[in-house]
Amino acid sequence: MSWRRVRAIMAREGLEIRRNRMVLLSMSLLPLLMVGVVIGSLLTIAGLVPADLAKQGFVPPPGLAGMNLQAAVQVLVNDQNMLYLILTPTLLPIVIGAYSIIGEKETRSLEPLLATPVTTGEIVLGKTLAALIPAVLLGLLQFALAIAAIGAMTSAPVLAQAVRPLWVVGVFVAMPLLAGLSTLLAVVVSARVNDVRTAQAISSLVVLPIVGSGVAVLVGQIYLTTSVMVAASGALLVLDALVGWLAVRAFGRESILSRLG
Amino acid sequence: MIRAENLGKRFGDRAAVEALDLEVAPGEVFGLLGPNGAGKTTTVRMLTSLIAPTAGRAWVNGHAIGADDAAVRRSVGVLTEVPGLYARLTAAENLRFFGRLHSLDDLDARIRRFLTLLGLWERRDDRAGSFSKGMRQKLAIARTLLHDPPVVFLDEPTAALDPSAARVVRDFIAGLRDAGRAIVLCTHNLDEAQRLCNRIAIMQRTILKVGTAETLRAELAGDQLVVTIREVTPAARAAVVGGVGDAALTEVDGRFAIATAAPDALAPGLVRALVAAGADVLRVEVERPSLEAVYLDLVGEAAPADAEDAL
Repeated sequence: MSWRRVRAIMAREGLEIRRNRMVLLSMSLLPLLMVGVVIGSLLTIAGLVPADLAKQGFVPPPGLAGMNLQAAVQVLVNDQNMLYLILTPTLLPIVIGAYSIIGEKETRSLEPLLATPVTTGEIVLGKTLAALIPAVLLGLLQFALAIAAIGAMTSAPVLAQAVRPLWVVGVFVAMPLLAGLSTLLAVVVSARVNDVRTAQAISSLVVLPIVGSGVAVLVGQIYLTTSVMVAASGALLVLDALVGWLAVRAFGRESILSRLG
Repeated sequence: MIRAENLGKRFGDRAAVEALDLEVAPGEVFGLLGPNGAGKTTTVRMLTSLIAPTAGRAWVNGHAIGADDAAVRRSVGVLTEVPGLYARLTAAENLRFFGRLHSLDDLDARIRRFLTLLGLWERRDDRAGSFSKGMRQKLAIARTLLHDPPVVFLDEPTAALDPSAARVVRDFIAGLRDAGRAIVLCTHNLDEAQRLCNRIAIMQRTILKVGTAETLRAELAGDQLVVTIREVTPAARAAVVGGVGDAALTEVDGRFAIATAAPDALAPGLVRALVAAGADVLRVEVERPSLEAVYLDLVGEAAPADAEDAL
């Protein structure tokens, strides 16, 4: 494995992404929208009167006992939004990942690339990182903006809940691993299909299980704690390694050249 | 530099290349001529370690195909039929990317050298997507040669280029040959093959015939001595028939065409006999069959099923 070649592939892909405004725009829209959702929910909660909440029979969960009712609602809604913020970056690299190999095949730049000493592992790693890094950076940016909004619109105890270990592990460990998994799955699909549109359509389907696990948390089927998040991150690391290996295997240098002429 | 022994490639039950033997020396341009689906691209892909042969063995620059593929790829430069450039990257960025993949150290100097040689230095910061076909092809050639490969494969290097751009590319290829590189040139352009190639192989799944353009023509079609006279009289016709012996003779409107391996030996006696028979000899010419005639004779006018195109 030559890191110089991996860096070269990352730099080239990065340059192309930066010069394709539509890709950049489509990647940036969802995180911005999610920050808007965080702000919108806080504005909605700001209109709630604690007395009304008490009248409606709202009882804060045990961990939030002692907080005023409005702050407790803010924490609960923020927790839900945090999960969205962790899941959002899994969707961002799909377009780039799905294009990564079949796109080069369609523009006929794949054969000159494969005729160089670059290995399949270097190509897969370089392309995965090139799609993943902007997605993770956008994910971290949306988290920073969301935290800034929470800090500005709520009290210190609510902010403290938003940056408790569960979400720190979630955002800094689980989120990149989740995004890495969706990127690698998109690369696998890109290596196996015959055109870009099919790659993008299938790739958006393969992230459904990832999003589905998020939904399971939201509907209470999985109760998230810091240890669950750490365990999930460990499992994701193993999954990422497995799918990475599969991506290298799926990238048959010969078959991909032979398939479309 | 390049050696292949009994090389073959099957895709399922379809043979794309069979029993191919070839040898290309340094400083030689070896032409691969053949119709679509003849196996030219498959042959190049095997010899550049892009696809694995299903039969036979081959070596490129001393490295065995299949055993030392990374070394093979370091030794070769491949110009694919379509330039396959990154349209959003500038000319210099395209070259820099490939230079890094080849782990080249003096990259800036190399980029300058090749872009200058191919007349693209002034456009180095322009995106490849804004280039004309000719400029793209030149940039692809620069990419092919950036790492100074001793073995170069060129697939249709002048296809779709205007005559002046094609000439620049041909001159460049001639320069590479003179610099001692082994070059394999795949082309449909018989004139180009004739001008550039030291040897030409006509292939259709395997190499049907190989030789210089001259030997292919002589061996497969032979020369014709053509004598044109003003008026065909019985005496003149008898003089020609008597003068050519067993050689094949055709006559059309006072034009006698005689197939012969030695036109220079036959011509003086024939002219003397015609003059003695009272004929006015208007022209005496030696016609050499075109490479196209030889090519069509070997592969037939109809292209085969496009096995390769379907890949």
